[in-house]
Amino acid sequence: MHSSRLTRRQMLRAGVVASGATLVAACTPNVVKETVEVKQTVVVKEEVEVTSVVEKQVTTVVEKEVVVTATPGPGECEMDWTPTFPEPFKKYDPPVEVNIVLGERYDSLPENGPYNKYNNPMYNRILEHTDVRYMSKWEPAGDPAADSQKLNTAIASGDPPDMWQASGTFLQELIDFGALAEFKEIWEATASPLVKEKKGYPDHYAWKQVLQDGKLYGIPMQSGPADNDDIGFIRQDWLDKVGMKMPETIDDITEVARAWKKAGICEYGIAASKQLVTWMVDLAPVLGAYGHMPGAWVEDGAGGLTYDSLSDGVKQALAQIRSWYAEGLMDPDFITYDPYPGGYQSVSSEKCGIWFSPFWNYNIDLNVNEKIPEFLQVIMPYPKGPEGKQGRWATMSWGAPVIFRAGLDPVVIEALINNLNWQTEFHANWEKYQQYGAFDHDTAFLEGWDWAFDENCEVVIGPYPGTWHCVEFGWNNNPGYPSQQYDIYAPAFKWMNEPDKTKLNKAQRYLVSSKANQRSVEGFNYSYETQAVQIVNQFWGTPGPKMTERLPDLKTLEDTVFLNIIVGNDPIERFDEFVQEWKANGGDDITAEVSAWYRSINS
Amino acid sequence: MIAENSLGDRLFTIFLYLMMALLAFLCVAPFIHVISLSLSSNAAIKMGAVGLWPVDFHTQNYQFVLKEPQFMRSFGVSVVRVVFGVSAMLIMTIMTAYPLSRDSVPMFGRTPFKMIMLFSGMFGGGLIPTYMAMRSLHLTNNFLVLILPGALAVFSVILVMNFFRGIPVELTEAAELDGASHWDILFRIFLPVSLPVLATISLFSAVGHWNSWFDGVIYMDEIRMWPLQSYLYARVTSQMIQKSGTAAGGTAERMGQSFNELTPEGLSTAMILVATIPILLVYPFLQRYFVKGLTLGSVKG
Repeated sequence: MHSSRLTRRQMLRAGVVASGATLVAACTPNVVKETVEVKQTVVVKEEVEVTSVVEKQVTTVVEKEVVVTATPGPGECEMDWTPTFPEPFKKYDPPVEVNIVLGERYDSLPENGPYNKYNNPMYNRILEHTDVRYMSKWEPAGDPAADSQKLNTAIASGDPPDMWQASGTFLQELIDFGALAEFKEIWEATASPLVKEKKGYPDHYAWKQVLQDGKLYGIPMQSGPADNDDIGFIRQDWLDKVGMKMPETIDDITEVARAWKKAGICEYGIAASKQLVTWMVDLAPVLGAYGHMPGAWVEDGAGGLTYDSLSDGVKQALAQIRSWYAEGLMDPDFITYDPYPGGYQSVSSEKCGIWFSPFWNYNIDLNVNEKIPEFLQVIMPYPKGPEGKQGRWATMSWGAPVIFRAGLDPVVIEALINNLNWQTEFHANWEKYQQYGAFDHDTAFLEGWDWAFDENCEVVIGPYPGTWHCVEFGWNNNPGYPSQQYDIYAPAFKWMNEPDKTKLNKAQRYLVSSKANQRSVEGFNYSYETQAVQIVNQFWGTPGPKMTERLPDLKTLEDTVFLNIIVGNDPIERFDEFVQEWKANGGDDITAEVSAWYRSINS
Repeated sequence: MIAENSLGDRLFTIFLYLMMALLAFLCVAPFIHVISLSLSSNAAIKMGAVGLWPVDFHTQNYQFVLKEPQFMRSFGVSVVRVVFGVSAMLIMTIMTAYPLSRDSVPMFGRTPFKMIMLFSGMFGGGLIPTYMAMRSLHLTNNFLVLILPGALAVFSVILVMNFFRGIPVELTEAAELDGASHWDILFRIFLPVSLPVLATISLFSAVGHWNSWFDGVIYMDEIRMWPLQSYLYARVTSQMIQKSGTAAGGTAERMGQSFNELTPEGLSTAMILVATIPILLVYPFLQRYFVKGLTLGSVKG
């Protein structure tokens, strides 16, 4: 009798065949790649214990696959620029060694290559010019939870790295427990005037978290006001299809989405993700159009602060979003979407054509043009609300400060500050030093790696672009000051607007010829120029006891109520009940606490 | 036996089959989705267009994974870890379970020893003391840290001990009459009849070793020493962060070249699949002992 049962032997045989097939398939030659030019940038901001706000700028540059047919021989082409470096601020002999959590995974590079983790262009650059030799205490998993566990374990067992980053409650605990080095004297004597100016020492609010009782415990790593704030985007090709002009108001947005839906261009129109205000694909500028921003503490007119989620403007905005939802102009699944990939994909899969994201998201079309050639993303002005207001959430710019372990040799701290001096000088004046790798998060910009000469001796992308990132100041690959991105993009903006490109050198021409780079600079410029619409959260202190105890529950209440109002489970009047509930359940205490703090810092 | 050939019975059977098929499908659907993602193109994944079938079929993800030195290195660490880890566990467990199971043979401190073992099986020391202990034993950044702490699994000892107790006492008595030593009894009688329970604890241990990721992350400072699951965990959970400008700056642009046709999602899924195959292959060998061993050990004694 023929048995149809799969025996163990047969199953194993099938497994082996399948594995073999996978191997064979995996070893098939590369498909010739089409010419694509894509820049994808994602910023992840997560609340974690170690770094209360970790801002991670993620950049994948997928540039042109260059086919060089008649490559000039060695020496036939010449660089028409000369990279130089700032002078060292102080020499240390021998170089100081610093144990850090070294994030670079250089060991994933081709084995037997010329370079390794402790010998590569960027590492050597820092060693040579600042005499700091960064050693890897350990390599991070890249997952905030696992990494903070490892860090906590190391600290608790008395074996922390020499420097790391922390903020918020964790930072305060480290200070209180005496786990950190105090270095105000060294800082004041060593930090260059440029660093102090760029980092706004000591007046910029980010310093308040590390300057306590006249002592200094860390160096804030700030970001800029335009770096991560939302701007609006719209599909120009869809606007053209329905013959409508660029929307300027909330009502215009409604009309456009309605027209698209009616014409069958897309399923919904307006993209969102499960939080109204988050790091990308959110609705912050819609709320801003009503002059208010959930989650922000704003001045109450009496010297204190008030929680903006309770304002009438937020209620109006919720009513508007609710009507979009009811009319089917928003993706109904948005309540399940994380900003990425859910929110992102509601745009990239052509369900929606209006969304709000930071400038580095000005590239969704470039990512999918291969499949949807007509997809054209353009910047949409901040929509105006009924009273003509515009607004966006202002991303805080204080990052997580770099801190040093207690007992670290003062000479090492001094050397690290000199490292920061050098780095800041390098970044702020990259045009002068002709260091074009600074444009893209500081790559080495090496011939044969990042770029190569083509047959016309023009600079084109190289075989291993961006391989050499730097270990510059700790593991933070930039000096971290508010105008850093501006300093990087301003020269590029100038070159892009130069009508006669022959006046530029080859490297400059290469940088500005990339569509992705053009978009980055254009998007940043827009974000920078429109800072006036920022709605700034005025609370940036360490959370007080009431806030620590009550705010998480109140935030959950807020999120739940707002979502239920939007999806129609609750009437809009629920908002008024929410305000009373919020106040009664500890909200008033928090407001008093926050206001007292605000008055104290302003007195 | 009642004949089940009425129309109602047959319809009910069909219904049951359909329900079971649906449930089975629901179980494998995520796995199929993972396979599809690993074989789909960058643009399709970015658009969220991949369901249960690959879109724009390609195998670059697998090419990349199989050429990724660290992936293969971690794969090797995991294989070695499973082989030595399971072997060490078997030796330790058998050696511990045998004397504890021979109640008829007097042994000094048998009960306190059992209590200590039971206590340590129920209450752990906590991460930080354990970490400090490992560090003072010079086991951090040492391959042995992946094997030694788990070599004596109390649960397995109890299982094997109870299984040994279930072996008819006449067998050991007969052997002893013939002059057999403890070694003879253990190797010639106990072990041959205990294959089900040994297969069971081996499978537990092998799967445990293969899937363990946390010890690699905590005890190993260098990624090159990580076992496969630690590496996968880092790759998969931080699929965006790994390209970040702060946490692991540089990898982004390094990946940029490889990512011409690849996405983190596609790569992660390919890695997950490649990592799943070996442990899947272990199951058929041991499956038939599995249930038998587990129940036998637990009800006898």
